[in-house]
Amino acid sequence: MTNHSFRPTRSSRTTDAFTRSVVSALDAGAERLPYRITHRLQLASQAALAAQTAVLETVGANVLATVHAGSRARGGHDQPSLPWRLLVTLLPVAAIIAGFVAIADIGDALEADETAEIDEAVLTDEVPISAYADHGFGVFLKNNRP
Amino acid sequence: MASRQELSDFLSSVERRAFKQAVFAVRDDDTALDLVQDAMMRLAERYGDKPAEELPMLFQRILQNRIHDHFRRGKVRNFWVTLWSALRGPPGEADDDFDPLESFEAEEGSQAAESTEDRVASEQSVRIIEEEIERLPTRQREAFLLRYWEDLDVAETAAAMGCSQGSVKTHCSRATHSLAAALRSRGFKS
Repeated sequence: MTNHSFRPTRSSRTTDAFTRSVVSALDAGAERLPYRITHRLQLASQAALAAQTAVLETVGANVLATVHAGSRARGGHDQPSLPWRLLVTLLPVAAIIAGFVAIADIGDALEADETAEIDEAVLTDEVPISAYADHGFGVFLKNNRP
Repeated sequence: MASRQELSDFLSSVERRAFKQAVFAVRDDDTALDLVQDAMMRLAERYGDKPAEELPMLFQRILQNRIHDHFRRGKVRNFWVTLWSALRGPPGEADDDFDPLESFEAEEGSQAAESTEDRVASEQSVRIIEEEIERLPTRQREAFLLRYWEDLDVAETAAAMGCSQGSVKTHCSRATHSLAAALRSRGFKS
């Protein structure tokens, strides 16, 4: 009936030849599909690709949301890093210490100025006579005499 | 993970064979198209993130499941149709006019280089082979097509069919022998 030659059974080699012949006939049949069918198959492929894209976008969005939620839970990107947190903690302490030191220095300086004014007044004889009549002042002079 | 291009290439390469497989099983173009479309959608939605090399086996498994589901639903449907027909009178001829040759229309001019006689002979050969493939028992046909037409290995065929590798070998062997005998009886030289 036809030109095809099929050689079934016995050896795997002839079976392979037989199956190859059948497969090539099936391929030929698949190539001869009418346009109505091939067009619908094409549309089905496009619909499937669109579905894959939609699924991947949804999955991507969910993964991002999960990563953000996880990092928030672990104190990740939404919180400052360790050096920043140390700096923010230590800076007020350092400022307070510096303030105490400055207040002490200023107090010492004011006391020294006051003593210097008295010494200067004594040395320049600007001390009133009545001051020498003061017993306490006399004691002061006696004790501080070089 | 399969890229969009890889999935597109895969679907383009497999769509015609998938359609023919479905037609061999359900013998109806529109139903076969629906089944193939369902299988494509499910592959893309559920397994679109799988590596490209896993797509053939996954797709075939989905398609075979879709075809089996179709027959399961058909059994239930047929029960009610039979019951309804028995109540209404003798069955009509709606289901008796199926012509398997209708699905093998060739496009005009696609074989211009061949002589008319050769083309007719070739088309006739293809048609006869497809008819004999259709007549194979379901599991034998599935195994034969997956193993030899889809070029899956025995393990992949077994996974797609949901059976053991030994069963695949048995189905393939029986299919090959049955097909060869049937074609010989229809005038093909051995």
